[in-house]
Amino acid sequence: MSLYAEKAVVLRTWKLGEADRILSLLTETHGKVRAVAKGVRKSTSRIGGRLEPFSIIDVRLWKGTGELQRIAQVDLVHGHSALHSDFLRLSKASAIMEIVDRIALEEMDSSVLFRLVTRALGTLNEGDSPLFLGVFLLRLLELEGFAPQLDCCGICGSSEDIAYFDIETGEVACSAHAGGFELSRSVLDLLRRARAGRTRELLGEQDPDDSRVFETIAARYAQQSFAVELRSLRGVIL
Amino acid sequence: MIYPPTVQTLVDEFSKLPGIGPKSAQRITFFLLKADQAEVMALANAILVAKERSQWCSRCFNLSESELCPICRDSTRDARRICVVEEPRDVVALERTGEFRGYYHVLQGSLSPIDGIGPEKLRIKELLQRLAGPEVDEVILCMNPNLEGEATALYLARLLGPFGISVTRLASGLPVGGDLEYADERTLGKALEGRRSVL
Ligand SMILES: [Zn+2]
Ligand SMILES: [Zn+2]
Repeated sequence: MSLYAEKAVVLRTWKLGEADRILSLLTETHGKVRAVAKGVRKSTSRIGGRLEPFSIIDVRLWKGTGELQRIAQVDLVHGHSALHSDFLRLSKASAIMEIVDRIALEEMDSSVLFRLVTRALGTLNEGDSPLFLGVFLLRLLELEGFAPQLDCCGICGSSEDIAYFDIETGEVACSAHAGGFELSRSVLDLLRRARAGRTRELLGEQDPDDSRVFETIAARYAQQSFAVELRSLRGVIL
Repeated sequence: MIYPPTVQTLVDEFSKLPGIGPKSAQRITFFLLKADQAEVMALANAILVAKERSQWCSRCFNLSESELCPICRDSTRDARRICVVEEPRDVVALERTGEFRGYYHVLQGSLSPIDGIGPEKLRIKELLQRLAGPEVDEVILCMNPNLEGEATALYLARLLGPFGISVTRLASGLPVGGDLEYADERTLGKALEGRRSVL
């Protein structure tokens, strides 16, 4: 049995019994943790509001012998409450929580992932951008070793006339080797800028058609690579 | 598995119920297997009858045993006010306060993208239809004080803006993260009394 302190993002919560909740947390240094918060759905609970998804918390966790840890104490660092305010932002933030919940492992070194997730939530809380989710997903893919290959055709190696992106292989293809998503010049450029890490600049882009294709490609490729289907994205991608 | 197939089927069915894990499912199963035949019959029958007789009220989507629920049939209530809630149990909680004399509208859930629940899965279209007439002049949003409830209330507030009716929300005092149904009558009554405009 041990008690330890961590910084964590609340990824998801589920009701448990009459008044408790199970939480999935991404901690800064212990990877994903599943923990029980006792009595938080009762009206008398003072901490229920600190345990909503998207919240960043300072938490003390009890690790016993069972599968689930237990929340002993919690302070809210940031609630990201603007994310509740419109359905599109809520969907995007939920998609981040959903995918991270699926790919994060227990007891892994999670500091890089934690930083990526908390930054993304902070950015989205400040304001939405049509390219936000795609940029996040491409960062996540890169972090997990699935960076797409965007330079030359995966079949013939030509760097001319790139016109497709194949979500199965994560590679682009030239127009002679058609397959996968059709890629306009401008969408290819967006993908390449995302790969180059030009995040701030991309978040300022506003073209609605290009961004929808960009988001869809990133989301489909992420779903394919991580072998998940993201329910949160139903209202967001093509 | 060590249980006979029929027993295992029952355990599996119970584990599908909300809030019931495999251990509770086993406990309930063995409780029933040890109980009197008559008690078990009474339970099975109650489930079947309730399922058969209940339907959604065609106006407010509360649980009902007839086309219109008793509240919608009560013409002495205040037709100018509609209180929008997530679930039938919230209607029960609000009725217990005795503070509200208008009608209800049950959304049958709250927005939760992560569970695949978008606006089209809730009874929002039906709410808008009810507001098309001239009677209603106040909509009170009584969502649970949690993430999904908050998101649903804000979504509705935005949607109802153009209707030119007063849109209010329960006053704070309800603890965030708690369930509306667990709030005691006094707290909930006060929250209703002190509701504020959101537009
Ligand atoms: Zn080629
Ligand atoms: Zn009714």
